[in-house]
Amino acid sequence: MTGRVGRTLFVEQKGLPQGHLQAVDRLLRIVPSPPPSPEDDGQDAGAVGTKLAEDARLVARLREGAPRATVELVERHGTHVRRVLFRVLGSDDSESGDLFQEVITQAWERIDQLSEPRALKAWLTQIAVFTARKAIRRRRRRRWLTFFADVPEPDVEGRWAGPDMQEAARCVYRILERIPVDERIPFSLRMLEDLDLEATARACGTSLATVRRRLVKAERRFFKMARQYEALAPWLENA
Amino acid sequence: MTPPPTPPHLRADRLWRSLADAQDAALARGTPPALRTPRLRRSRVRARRLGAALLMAGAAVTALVLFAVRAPRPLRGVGGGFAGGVASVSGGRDEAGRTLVADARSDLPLQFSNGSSLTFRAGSTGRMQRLGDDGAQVFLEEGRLEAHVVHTRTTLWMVHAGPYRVRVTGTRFEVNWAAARLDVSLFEGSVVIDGAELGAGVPLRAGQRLTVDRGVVRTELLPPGAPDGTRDLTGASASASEELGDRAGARAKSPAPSEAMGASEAVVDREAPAGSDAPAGSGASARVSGGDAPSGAPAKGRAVAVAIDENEWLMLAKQSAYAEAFSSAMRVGWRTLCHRLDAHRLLTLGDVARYAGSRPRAQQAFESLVARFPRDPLAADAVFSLGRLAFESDQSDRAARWFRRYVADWPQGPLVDQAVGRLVECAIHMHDGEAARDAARAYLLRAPTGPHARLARQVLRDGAGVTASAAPGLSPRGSPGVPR
Repeated sequence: MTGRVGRTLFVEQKGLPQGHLQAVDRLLRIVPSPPPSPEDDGQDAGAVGTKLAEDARLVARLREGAPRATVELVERHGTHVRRVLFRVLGSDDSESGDLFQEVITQAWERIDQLSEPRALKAWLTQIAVFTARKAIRRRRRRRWLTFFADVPEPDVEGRWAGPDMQEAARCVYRILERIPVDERIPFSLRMLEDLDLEATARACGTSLATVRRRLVKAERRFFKMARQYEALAPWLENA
Repeated sequence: MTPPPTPPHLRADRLWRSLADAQDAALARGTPPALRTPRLRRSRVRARRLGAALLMAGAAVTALVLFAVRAPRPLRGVGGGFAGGVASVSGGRDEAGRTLVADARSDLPLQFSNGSSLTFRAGSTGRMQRLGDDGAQVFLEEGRLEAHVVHTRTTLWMVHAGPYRVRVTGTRFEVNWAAARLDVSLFEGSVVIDGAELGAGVPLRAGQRLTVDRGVVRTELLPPGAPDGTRDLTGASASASEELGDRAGARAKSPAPSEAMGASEAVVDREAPAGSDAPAGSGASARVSGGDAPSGAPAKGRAVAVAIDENEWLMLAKQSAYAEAFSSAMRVGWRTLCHRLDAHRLLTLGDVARYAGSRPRAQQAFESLVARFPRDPLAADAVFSLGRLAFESDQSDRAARWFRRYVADWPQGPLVDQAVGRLVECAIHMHDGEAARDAARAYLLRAPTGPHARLARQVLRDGAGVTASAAPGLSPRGSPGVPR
């Protein structure tokens, strides 16, 4: 325990040689993305600005209790919320359907607490992440209480990808199940949702330093366990 | 000094990319992809632990049963509309004097510990005046009340309707009081009706009907084939609504949950051939075995059994056996039902949970309806029910949000008057005088003679000093209409 804390402190406070840290960051893709080129910026700025303005209008309508505002919220951001839940939980089964409802309901109920209406999407992401975290903890408690061991069996129905991918996905989420939830979530968002470091930290409600530390630990845990899964071997590459 | 961490030696960029793409594709297809819920296998050691746990649980259940058997059983509300507040209702007698309001949409069943049940039909208004070990007194202010009273020599049940009084000497009857017209139909047992022009009382026997209309008293035999009070809720509710004028139109706009029950029967009939392995004793299996399905047709095996089980809760709900319906639905899997049922049945499912006393499950069902069918007219009912559940849970702020949403999204909805009325109550509970006055004004504009009108006038007259106890609809710690 002491050793792990000591190593964490080393990374966070005393610092590794700059080149070493950058190497770790690169492997984890936590180097901030290069700024977009002026052309790209010019092209996207208008569309992004319009979307943000529409979000702000939607927030205003939700606060007013305008007719159909909630329906619009679901239609506009429902897919994003579902995707975040899917990334973090690994399945879009009936439980994540419940969680989707929970996210939308919470957003609707707490819309007055959103300080920056243009950040609606990020705020929804945050709610989805917190909801998923609760669900993961609930699952773990339930599993402990059942006194049972879960043993993987081949999936025969509900395939949503090719057999190799399906098997790999199953292994990935089996590993993620064994990673502490506070590390697992930023790791999933970073790797699967491809959020940048800042967005990951914002979604998890933590500082940049904390999220970076958790990513490092999660990454280490993941690959340590990934070696044990034969099905993942074709997907792993030497760095 | 602790050595620096070993940098990762592996990468899996291709895995992440492929996995994300597969997930995106699955979401785009709209099919709910499931990453196999792992089946569980028991190890020997854990089986032993499980056995010990089961033994302990069994001992606890036995102790509870013994305690329940030994405990005295005063008459009290135990189910239906009482269920949401069982804890507060257990005191029984404290409930007297509070107003019961049955929604225009649905019936309000009340079940009692001695097996009696009262059902305020859709759109009816009434009041539980007294509830004690020796019986109950109920005031029917408007609408239709169906009663099934388990009468004993030591109990006295009384139903007041306007100036009239129905003394119950047993057992199953229906009272309709609207526009100063009294209509009592007796299906079993006997009652005595007195008051006003009835003098000392007119006894009524099973199969008789008494009407008092503008001073004219008429006693007649019930027509053959007349509804006997055990018919399904659809017919009863519809007929009640017809007599309640405007509310009938409201109901027509919003189909009753029980309409879905008929649909469910059709499903059972179609899917379950005779001789299938339906659970013995369930309404579904009885119906199936006597249905139109060709005899000797090959059974569909497990799938058929599942179909029947999944509809058992509906059949039980139709028989007002809400606790049993709830248990049956839980056996099927609440979450499964929430994700599989159509809007009508989801609404019924929520009502079943509500009447069985499980607010979280009711909330889950209603929220599922709102999320899955946001444009369905029944979403309006679900939103209203969510407001009511929140109010019952002392969450006035949350309740107000649901009721406001109802008013905003369905300004012509059948329950909009009640939603506004309950906004008045919410504002009072939140001590928000301004909001209470606004809601009160809005209510009086919409329904100057409605059940909340007195409260609304009181709010406008006395300001925020009005106490919630004057409110007719809900008690935040109780259930619909259950007095605190």
